[in-house]
Amino acid sequence: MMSTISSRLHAAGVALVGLMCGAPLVVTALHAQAPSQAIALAIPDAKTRQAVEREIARAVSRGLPSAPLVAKAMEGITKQAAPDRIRSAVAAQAQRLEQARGLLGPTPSEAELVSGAEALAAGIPTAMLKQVRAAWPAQSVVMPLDVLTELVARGVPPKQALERVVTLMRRGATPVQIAGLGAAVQADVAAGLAPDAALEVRARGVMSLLPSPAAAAALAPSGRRP
Amino acid sequence: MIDERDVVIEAVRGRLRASVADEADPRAVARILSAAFAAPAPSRWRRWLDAWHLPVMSRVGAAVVAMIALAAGFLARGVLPNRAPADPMAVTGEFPIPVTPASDPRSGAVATQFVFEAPVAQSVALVGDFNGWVPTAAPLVRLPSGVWTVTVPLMPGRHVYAFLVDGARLESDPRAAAVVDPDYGRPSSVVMVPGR
Amino acid sequence: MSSSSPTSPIDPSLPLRAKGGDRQAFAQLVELCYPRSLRFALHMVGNREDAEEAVQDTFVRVYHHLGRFRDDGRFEPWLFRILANRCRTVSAKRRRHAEVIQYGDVPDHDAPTAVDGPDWMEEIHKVLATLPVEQREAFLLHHVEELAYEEIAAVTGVKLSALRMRVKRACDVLRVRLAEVRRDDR
Repeated sequence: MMSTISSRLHAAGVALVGLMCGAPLVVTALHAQAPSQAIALAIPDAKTRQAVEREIARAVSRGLPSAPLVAKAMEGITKQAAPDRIRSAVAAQAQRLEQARGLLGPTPSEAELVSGAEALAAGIPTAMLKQVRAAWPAQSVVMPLDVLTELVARGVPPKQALERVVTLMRRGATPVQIAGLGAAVQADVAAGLAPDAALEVRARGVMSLLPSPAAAAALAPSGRRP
Repeated sequence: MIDERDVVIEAVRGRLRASVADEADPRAVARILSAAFAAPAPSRWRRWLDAWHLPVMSRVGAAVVAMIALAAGFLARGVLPNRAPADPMAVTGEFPIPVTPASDPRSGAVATQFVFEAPVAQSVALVGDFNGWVPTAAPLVRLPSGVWTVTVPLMPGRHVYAFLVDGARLESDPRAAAVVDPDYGRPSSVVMVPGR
Repeated sequence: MSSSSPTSPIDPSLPLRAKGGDRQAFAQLVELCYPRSLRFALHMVGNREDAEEAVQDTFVRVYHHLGRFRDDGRFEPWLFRILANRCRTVSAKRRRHAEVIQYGDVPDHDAPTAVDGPDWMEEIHKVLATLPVEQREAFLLHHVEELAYEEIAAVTGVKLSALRMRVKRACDVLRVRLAEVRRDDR
């Protein structure tokens, strides 16, 4: 199947050299194509195209989801990245997905894997993902991971970010409340507040809405999975 | 001295004064502060132009100045509802109510509106992790004012996105928090969708 | 909760501190002035979304032009001068783009139900909308926002005598049109 795609697209590949200097036409030409064909179309270099397809196939054979990897390749195409950079980005994402799977086990959802991979890409240490999972062993950790990633992206020191998020998780904060914390800190930092100060203020705010630690312990999650 | 006060005028006055709550909506205040602190200080040219925003001008002059300042201010304006980073879920008066897609209570997806100002662009598309960065998945619609918009369902969480202008130029959202993606090194924007 | 009690003047030190770079002082100014500003804008432009846009633009301008604010001046007239201009701009934009779909022109209904007629507020707005913008502006600034004529003259740049005439004409129209409504409702 790959050789059929390759030969069919090789003819188009010559015309698609225009990708580098006339991307509008090429990207527009992806209109009627599914993502996997879009990847093939937009990488005229056959060797790179095959390397990307192989990378994705290898990840799938290891039980990883393909959609995030196809998306990573598409991101590179849309951002007009060099073909080799696309290949290494896809490989890096596959590696992060696999790492996240090991850290968020035993059976993380695809969404958790993606959030975990994003957290790792943002430089959050692997141990922190384990701690997030430990705080909510049976509940989706997508939102805490996303908020952790966002806090670190805004400049909050990772250790402080983790402490606050995990504390809120253990005290019974809902995903919506944790998301609200992330959005509020985002806005505060944009308004000029120091990231760590913003987090402290907002974490206190959420904390004030939560039940006492004793009550929270009595409400410890058990198998709630949205 | 003309005494205009009478029963009718007093009643009108009372109703109009009571038409808005005495306390400021904290979200509106937060949006204003974010916009004020985030907006770049106007250039000397802009400050000079603003100085002409005085009611003593003739109607024609004021209209011309207002149109110039409106265009300049509109393009330079920063964030919005809850704006900014703006609340992408806020819908402002100029934009049409989207017919689809609605928030889906079954999946938990939340209808989220995106807005981008590009009066001279021929096409604008929303690309991001929620649509696989496919340029055709979420084209924006252009309004007469030159503002583009689209509403898409987003799952609760953090999403990274950008706008693809004229099929070639990738731009981040001036209304949103910025992030540089670690894999390709290009600036993108972030939206946090809290869910319900 | 809405009230019709007189508005307290702004502490004169607030705008001066904001002018000096104190963001907290500016935030307090916004909090204090937002309700009145929104009310004026709402009655000027007729719908909430445009009103909020005008108010937000106004405060952003105020923030960036605090250097122009005179230390011995009163803040509210200066604020309303900018706001009045923003309202005119927003209204002009809306007239140019009349085909744009709005979310609805119904103004804020936080106010309690009218004791003097079922749709009293709506009638007031209908009549206000028919007034020339200068008369509407003058009426709102004087009778609703309680600025003195001298201050309004500073806001609009209009002579005192012309200003009083605008307010009088606005009152005449409101009195006649709304008195008819009240008679019909009884």
